[in-house]
Amino acid sequence: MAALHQQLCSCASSPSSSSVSATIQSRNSSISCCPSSRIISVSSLSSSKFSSSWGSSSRVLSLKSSVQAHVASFGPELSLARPSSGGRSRNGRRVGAGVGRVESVQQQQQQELPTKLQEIVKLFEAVPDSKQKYEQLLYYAKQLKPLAKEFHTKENKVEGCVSQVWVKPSLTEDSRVFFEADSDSLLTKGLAALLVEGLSGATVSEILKDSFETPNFSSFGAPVTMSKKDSIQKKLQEALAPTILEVDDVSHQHAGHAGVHKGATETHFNVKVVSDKFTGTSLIKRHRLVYELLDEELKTGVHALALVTKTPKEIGQ
Amino acid sequence: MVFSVGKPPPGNVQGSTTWTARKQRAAKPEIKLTPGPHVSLTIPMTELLYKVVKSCQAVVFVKGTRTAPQCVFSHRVLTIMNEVGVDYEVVNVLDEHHNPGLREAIKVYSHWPTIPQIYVKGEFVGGADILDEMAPSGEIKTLFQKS
Repeated sequence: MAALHQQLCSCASSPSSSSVSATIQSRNSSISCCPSSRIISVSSLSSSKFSSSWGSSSRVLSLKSSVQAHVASFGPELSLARPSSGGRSRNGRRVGAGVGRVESVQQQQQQELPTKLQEIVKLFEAVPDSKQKYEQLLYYAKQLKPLAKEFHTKENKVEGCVSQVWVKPSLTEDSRVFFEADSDSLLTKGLAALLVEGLSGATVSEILKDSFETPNFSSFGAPVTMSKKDSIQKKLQEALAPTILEVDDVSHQHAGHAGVHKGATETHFNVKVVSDKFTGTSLIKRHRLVYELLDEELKTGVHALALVTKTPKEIGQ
Repeated sequence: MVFSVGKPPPGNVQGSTTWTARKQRAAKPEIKLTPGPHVSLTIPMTELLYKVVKSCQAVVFVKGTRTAPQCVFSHRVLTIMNEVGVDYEVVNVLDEHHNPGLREAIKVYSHWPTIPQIYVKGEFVGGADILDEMAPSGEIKTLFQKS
C-alpha cells in the first residue's frame, strides 16, 4: 500500500498534460513526489473511519492519531521490511523514491495483494519499455471517472502534493471499500486510477492488513523527487528540531521577476523557524546555518529565501 | 509718466526657465567592475570584488540599478539605506555587460547564496531580512559610526 500510494503522490512539477509528454522525453526533469505517508493517511483515515463505525478495535483510532503525527516527517527511505508492530508502524513506512525495484520482494508481496491489484501489477511488469509504461498509465488516467466537484474537499485532498489529488472512499454494506479519485495532473490521475482499479471492491480488512505492501511502481523510470518545499521542511526539521516551522512557496508573487523563467515554481520561499538551536548566535550566523542546510535547493532553482529565525524565548514562549 | 524702462531682471525674461524647470540631481551611478567586454580581464572577478568591497565605505549588491531595482528584496534594501541617509555605492549584479559573472562570484565570495548583499567597511552585514531587523533599532547607523 505504501509504495502504491507513494507513487500515487508523485506529481509533475507543472501540472499540465503537455508537461507529461515532456517528462517522457526528458528523464532528468524533476517530478516532485509527496511522501507516501500522506496518501496513506487519507485512505487509511477514511478506512479507519469506516472500521470504527463498524465497531472494530481501537487500534484503528490510534492509527488515525499516529497518522497525523507522521505526516510531518517523511523521507525517501527504502523500507521493504515488514512492520514490526500493529497498525502504528504502517504509517511510518515510506518507500524510496526513484530507487530500483527489488524483484524478490515484489513476488513475495504480490501474493498478499488483492487480486485486482495483482493483475494490474502483472500488466505493468509485462510492458518492457518505460515509455510504454507511461502510455499505459496515461490510458488509465483517461479511463478514470472524474470526481464531482463537491468532493474536492480538504478532507479528501492528499496533502503535500504539488499537483492536486483527491481520494474519496465509500463503504458498501458488505464492508467493501470503493475508491474514487481525481487529480488535475494527468500523471497523478493515472496513479490514482491504479488505486481505484486495484483496490476498489476490496474489503476493509484487506486494505488495513499489516502485511499489505504494494510493489514499487518507481520502475517506470521517472526520476521521482520530493518537492522543494518538502525537502526544505524535512532538512530544517531534522537539523534544527524547531518548535515552529513554516515554509511557504511564494514564487507566484515574484512571477515576471528578473532572472525568473516564466511559469517557474518553487523559486521563492518564506521560511519561519523558531528553534532552540539559535540561542546565542547572531542573526548572520543563523541565516548562514539555514543557508548551509538548504545548499542543495539553493543550487537547483530556489533563489530567494525570506528567513525569520527566532528562538522560543524571543517570541515569548 | 514713464519715459524709459530698463531691462527686466534675468529671471523675468520671457522664456526663462529658472523657476519652471525642475532640476533633479542625477542619482549616483552604479559601480561598474569592468569597462565592458571589449577589455579582457587580467585579474579574476573575485579580486575585483575584493577591491570594491574594501575601498568603499558601504556597498550594496543588488539586482537592478539604484533607481530601478528589479527585485523586491533589493528594493527593500535600497529603501532602508536611503532612509538611513548615508552615502553608499551600488553594484548591479544583473549587468552582465560590465559585471560578467558577478552574480555567482558574489555568492561564493560572501558565502551567502542570495542577493541583495550589503557590505559596510569591508565587512559583510547581511541580506534583506537582516537589514529589515536592524532598521528600526538604528543599528545600521552605528555600523557607520564605529571606527
